[in-house]
Amino acid sequence: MPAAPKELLLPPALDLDAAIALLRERLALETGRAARDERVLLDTFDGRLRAAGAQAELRGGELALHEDGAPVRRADVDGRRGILAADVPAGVLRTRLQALAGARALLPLARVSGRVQALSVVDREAKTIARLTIERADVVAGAQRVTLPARLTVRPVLGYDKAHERTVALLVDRLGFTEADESQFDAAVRASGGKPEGHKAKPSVALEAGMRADEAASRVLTALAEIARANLPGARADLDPEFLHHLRTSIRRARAVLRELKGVHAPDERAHLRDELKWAQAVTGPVRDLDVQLEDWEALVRPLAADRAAELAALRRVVERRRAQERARLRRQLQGKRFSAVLRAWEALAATPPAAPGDPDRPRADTPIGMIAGHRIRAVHRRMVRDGRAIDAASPPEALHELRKRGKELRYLLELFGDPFPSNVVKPLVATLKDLQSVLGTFQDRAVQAEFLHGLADELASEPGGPQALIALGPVLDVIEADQRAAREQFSAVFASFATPEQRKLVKGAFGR
Amino acid sequence: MKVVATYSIKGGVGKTSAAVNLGALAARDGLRTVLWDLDPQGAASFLFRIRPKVKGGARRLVKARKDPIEVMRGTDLEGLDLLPADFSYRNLDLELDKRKRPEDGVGRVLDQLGERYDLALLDCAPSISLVSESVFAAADVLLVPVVPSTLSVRTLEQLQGFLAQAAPTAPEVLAFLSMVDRRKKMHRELEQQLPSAYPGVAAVSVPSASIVETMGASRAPVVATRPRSAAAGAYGELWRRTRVALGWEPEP
Repeated sequence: MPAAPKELLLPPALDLDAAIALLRERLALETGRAARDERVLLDTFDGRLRAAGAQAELRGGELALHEDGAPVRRADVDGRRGILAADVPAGVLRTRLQALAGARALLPLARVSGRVQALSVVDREAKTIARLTIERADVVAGAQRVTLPARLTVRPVLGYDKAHERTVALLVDRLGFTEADESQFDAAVRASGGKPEGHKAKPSVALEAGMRADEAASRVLTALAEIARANLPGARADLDPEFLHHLRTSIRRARAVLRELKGVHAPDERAHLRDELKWAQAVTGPVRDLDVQLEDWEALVRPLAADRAAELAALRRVVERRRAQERARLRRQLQGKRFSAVLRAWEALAATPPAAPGDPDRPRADTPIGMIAGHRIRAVHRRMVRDGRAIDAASPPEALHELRKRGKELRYLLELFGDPFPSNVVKPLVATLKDLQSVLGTFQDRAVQAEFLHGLADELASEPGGPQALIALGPVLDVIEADQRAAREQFSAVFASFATPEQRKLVKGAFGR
Repeated sequence: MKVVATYSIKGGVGKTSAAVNLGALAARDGLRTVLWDLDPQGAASFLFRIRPKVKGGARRLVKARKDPIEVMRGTDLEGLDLLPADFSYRNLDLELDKRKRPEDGVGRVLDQLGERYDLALLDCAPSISLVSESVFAAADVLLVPVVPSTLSVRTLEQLQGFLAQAAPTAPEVLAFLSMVDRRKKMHRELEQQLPSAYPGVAAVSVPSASIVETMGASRAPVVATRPRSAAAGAYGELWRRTRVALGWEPEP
């Protein structure tokens, strides 16, 4: 395994020029590029690049991607809003960004302005054996400038690990450099008021089995509301489809909390918030459904030959046009008073003080969360086993759809309230549930997709190139139908893994009475 | 990982120059690139100031017991790494012949690098041998420098004939004119005639320029030291055509 780059802070007494002069005295150096450097550091909202050890920067209109063990990948882009992989010209950078960021946009996190000097440590043959970059930079946040500690990055060259180690040892042990406790990226993003690690899409709430249900509900609802708030600006600005997706997921989870925890909140407030969350889910649905169709586009056209795939351009135009129309509606809703009121009501319910002893409106507020959640998990699991067993080759599609809904309910219960229960039961249960949900999801998604495409037929027929697209859709619908059939055939096997007697016994034991 | 080999039966025709310059261009384009200096003379290793030495030699490499990354070296160009030459490569044929399916030997070494690199460039020794056959089996594209002379053209024809027998596993041949001196009438004539007369000969002429010859002294690719020179332009065009041949760029 090649050595990792090392970021070092300059000794406090040295400015950049003095540090370079000192390095020249003690190391055989070739001087590289020295420049004023203005760049914007980028990452996805959830910090995918940082998590993968990559870093993206925008200089003027040029996007650069840095990864250890790879050359810098560059391309010219339009970076006025977020940068999607699809916005990058075809090539290595786009391919890599698709792998790293998926559907997420690269967003500006910090603007850095400074002076950079590149240097190479060389051997007797003048061959580069380690690379140095020394930088003094400010983070520009509005009218404010925050000066970051000057730092020296030592990057290894493949096959010269010892030279890298020797260089770092000299700098640290002899010349007074110190190892930075955070990367330049983290320091810059933090100085800009951001979170270098990005925002999580899933709530992470510590619960104990004996915790009062109202306190547990409060913690979970607060965490979910924070996720919704964090994703709302990106969903409003339509930076990438994941903002809306995570906004909707947090709404769905909050609805699950209210559904599962009856008698924990005041009935009127609970009913009101349930209605409003249902409304919020409904108004955000159409754009999300169209996003899913567009995300599935590559898979949709894959079965077709290249010329046939090109004939589907008219279909893509129709879907994008519909999305633009729905998007305009959604933007108004997300910016409207009712949506803001939903969030306020959600946060208000999350902040409700604990119920007074004996409060008749909140009879289960002080019941331990472990008891309520355990009961619900067992009940939903039992019902899934019963309903799933009743499904056979003659069952209507609705039976599978209903089972999928129950599966989602169980998934949310385990995700939100599974913390107090033994992980050796929760983890395998979640794993087999995921497999089952994946098959049920494919079955239903393909049905929805086929219905959606059929529903576009009239509009598509009157579109330029529409008749050709309708013809090209024939084999696509065949593939969708085949996928759905295959999912149905897989159902028995994945359900059997989910509903084994051993797992049922474990569920019964772990989630108690 | 795609594999491109610079190959010719003849020596001194510009294989190494093409390999190191294309390696530099590939890395500049953001491709993780490894150049394997298969020539025991080690010209590419010399150009990158890397000692032509592989611990354990050819035997250890083809036995595939050792990850080749352990003997590789980064060049001065970020993104371009070198699997150096070793004098024991002169016996690489014998080492390959000791194994089952010797024609897969080069491919087996490269397979270990497939996850880490996007492109492997093989700078071959001038010969036709078991090593060459193994290179042909591993390569997607064979870059063949052709010096403008009747004998070189004949050699190209022989190579194409040989590869035709190996179809369908034979790599695509992309020949190009090398060491072209436009002051010579025959060079000018062949430069005009060859691309249209022979399929697979690209309309790319690497000039017989002093800057190409002095690469040995500067020990760096001309595309890095003299990016605006005619030679760098020719390597740029050769790289573009190589990308097309690899399917990374659409046909113009």
